[in-house]
Amino acid sequence: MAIESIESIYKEVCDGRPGAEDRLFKALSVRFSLIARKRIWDRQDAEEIVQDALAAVFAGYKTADIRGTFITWAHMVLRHKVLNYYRSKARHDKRFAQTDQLDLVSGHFTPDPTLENELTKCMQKIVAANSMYGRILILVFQGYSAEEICERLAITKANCYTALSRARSLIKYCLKKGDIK
Amino acid sequence: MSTCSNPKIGALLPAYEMGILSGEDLVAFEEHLYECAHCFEQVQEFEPVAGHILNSDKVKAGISTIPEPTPAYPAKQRKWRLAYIPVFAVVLLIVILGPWNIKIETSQDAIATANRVIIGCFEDLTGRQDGKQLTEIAAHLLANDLSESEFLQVVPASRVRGLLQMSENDNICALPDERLWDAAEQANARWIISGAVIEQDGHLGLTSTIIDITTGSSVFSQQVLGDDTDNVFSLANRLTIQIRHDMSMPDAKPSDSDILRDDVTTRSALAYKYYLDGIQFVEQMYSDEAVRAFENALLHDSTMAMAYYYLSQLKDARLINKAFEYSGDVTTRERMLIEGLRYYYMYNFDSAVAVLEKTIDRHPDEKSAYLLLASIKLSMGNTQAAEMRYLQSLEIDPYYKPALNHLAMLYGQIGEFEKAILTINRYIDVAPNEAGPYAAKGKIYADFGEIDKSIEAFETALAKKKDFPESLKMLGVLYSFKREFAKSDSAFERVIETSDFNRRVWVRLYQATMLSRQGRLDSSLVIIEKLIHMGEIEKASTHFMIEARLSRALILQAQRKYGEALEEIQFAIDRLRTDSPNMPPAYLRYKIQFLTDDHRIAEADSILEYIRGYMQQIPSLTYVYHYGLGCRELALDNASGAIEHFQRALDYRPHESMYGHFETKLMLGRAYLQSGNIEQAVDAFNDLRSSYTYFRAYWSLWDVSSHYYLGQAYEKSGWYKRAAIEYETLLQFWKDGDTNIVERQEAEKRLAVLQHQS
Repeated sequence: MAIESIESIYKEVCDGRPGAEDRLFKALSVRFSLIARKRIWDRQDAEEIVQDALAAVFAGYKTADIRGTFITWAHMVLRHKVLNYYRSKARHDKRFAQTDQLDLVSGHFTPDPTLENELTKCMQKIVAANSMYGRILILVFQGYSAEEICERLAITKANCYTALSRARSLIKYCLKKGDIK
Repeated sequence: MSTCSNPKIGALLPAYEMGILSGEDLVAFEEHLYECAHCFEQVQEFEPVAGHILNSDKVKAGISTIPEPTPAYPAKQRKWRLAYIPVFAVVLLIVILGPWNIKIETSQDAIATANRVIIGCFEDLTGRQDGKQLTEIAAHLLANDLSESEFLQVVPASRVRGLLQMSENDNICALPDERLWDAAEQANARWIISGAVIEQDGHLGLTSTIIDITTGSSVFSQQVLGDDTDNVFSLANRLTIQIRHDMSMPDAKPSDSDILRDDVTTRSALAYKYYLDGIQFVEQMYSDEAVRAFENALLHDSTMAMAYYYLSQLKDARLINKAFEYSGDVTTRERMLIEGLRYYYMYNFDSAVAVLEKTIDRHPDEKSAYLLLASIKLSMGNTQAAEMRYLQSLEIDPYYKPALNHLAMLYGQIGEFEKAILTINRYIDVAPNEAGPYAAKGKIYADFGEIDKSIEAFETALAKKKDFPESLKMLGVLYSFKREFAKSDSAFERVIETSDFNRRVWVRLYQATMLSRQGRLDSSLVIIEKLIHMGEIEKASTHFMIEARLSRALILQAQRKYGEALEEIQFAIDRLRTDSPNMPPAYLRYKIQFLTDDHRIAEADSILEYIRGYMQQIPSLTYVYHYGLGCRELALDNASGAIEHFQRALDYRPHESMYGHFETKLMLGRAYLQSGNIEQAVDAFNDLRSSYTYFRAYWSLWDVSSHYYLGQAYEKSGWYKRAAIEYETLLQFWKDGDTNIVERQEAEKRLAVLQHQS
């Protein structure tokens, strides 16, 4: 899918080109949706945040004091919406935690059973063949950041990213072919 | 197929997909996604797979069953602690420990970071009515006592609450253990100490457990039991000594001061409880409640230095001397704060900064020290440094309400409206049910001339707290700008109903100023004279007495009674010299102005000469000097010279507030008018109307008079209609006022001429 440059569409909007605002809206929607899903892993909540962020961007971009690029500004709007979501969720979680109803607000990730089975098999093969990747993944699951993982494994960030990149290729290959190279 | 537009950032892609990027890397990669079609497609394509790797229990379990090669990194922590320390909060669990000791890092460099501790949950196991209160006090005392050690840094409770996103009212014991662990990690703390208040055979006791989060082990537990002579203070003191000893801290040996410090801060549990309440009210900006709480604390312990410390900020700066007098019993950190504030009140800014920077070196999480430093930097005119200090305090605690409030005010002051509103909105997010943030928003709107939005925000604050004095006072001021004097008066009366003497006299002074706004100068004078009389009897603050004298002097000046005005201003100058000898004699500028108004130029010159002699020593006098010279030149019909000096006065004006702005701008406008620079005159007068502040309200008489001067400016430039509107506005304000005010008489004449011409 080809995507248009946001900054160039924004420039067209500023120049008053007809239809440019609609294109900017669509282009931003696609980016916002992906980024919000990656931050939240809950499609429904992510979609709501995206709608909020888009509304804020299109209500404010004409009057906002955009000193850097439009992308930086728009992304900041989205980040604030995500941050607000986590804050309100934390408050919500806390309220339910006090009434022993934590399960009501647990995550909404819905697995795809087919992908789950295939991926599990592939991951087992890859981790068995590439122990560094296995170690990285275990630390990822434990919530460590990239810096912490590198520090604990005594590797550079570049090496860590390379290991993740190789594993990523293997996963894609394995899911396609059913086995690793 | 497309390629990545920025391979350096594109290399972060797999880490992004695994959700391990943070900070600048994360933002940089996300921003890259907006423009790089290649990476966007890659992330989109791999999203379902990444989602399953990160969120599917089955996939995770599959990976976890794989035998792990010998790890090259320390044992895992989070899973372990979740599995094996499920009852972290059950602190009475007595762990039998071997004779081994943990060794506190004692090298100079390690002190600051390796030995940080957070105080966790303290539970009440007594079932007593005051049990909860005792746990709160015990945790606070322990934190205070331990922070005395050179070899330990205690992360303040407010910082821990900030990391946990908790309000002051939330109970830390209700949290799952892992949240506290996360907070400890984020605060770079190595230890968590939690405990309980117990009761045995009718005697109080305290227990504590120390967890080393690098290993997840409960390394020590302590227990102290009291007898008939013990109270929570002595028990906390003994517990601290035990903890220091168990942790093999080099300063663990009880010193004389430890033994004597049974009475650290106070001897009274009730006093301490009131004190803690007071701090909470301070953070909520509820100054009345805070004052009451601190005064109640002093009722139970009249030597509580820190209660005086806060009262000096809330009520009367002179109380800092009491805090200093009783500071022998407080912790080093508290003593440093008292010293810093005391230097500040003495206008010894350099010493105040030095003490507070030392405080921060020693206690890097002490956010109130950053706040105080910011205030001092602001007083020194360094807004950038002040902003930096506010931001630093917010880095420590992003939910620190006073910092959010002050930062927003600072942005408002330097004209950064958007930043101010963003900060205020953040403040509202943090405290949506408190009045403070809405009142702060109202203040920002008022500063930027949005009077209706400002009123709306202040009314919202009142809906949150119906007697919130800051809102009522400001509403009194705002309604007066709209000529709705009945509403203005009613708002002020509502403040008076719930105020003590000190605030009551201030509000009455504002009411008198509102009478000046209506041109009722004689009535205003009567009230001010009564206030001065009452202030002398009841020993009102120096600040109030000086402002009351100045208010009277300004009215007398408007009545062209220069001799009496000069007497008043001399009273103010003398009072200031006696009570605050280190404060620069800034009021001399009014003396010069009244002298030049009265054409007593030689006397004005001798004062100007005197000021010039001190300008090197006291730079803030540069403003006073140029303001005075501007008045002199204006009186001598040298308008261009006056313009130059008023401009320079504005350049040298201290930046801590709108101090000096209003009167200097007005005088500059008058100088432009006199010189024939009509456009600049109109700009200067209009600039005075661009905000609705206490300062503008204070200068009510001049504010309304400025309509006359602006009318003159319009008339000279041929805008007769606008000129007529300005004269009419002045006469509307003063329709019930005294008829002998010169500007009123002149405005009536000019309006009549204009109406006749049209």
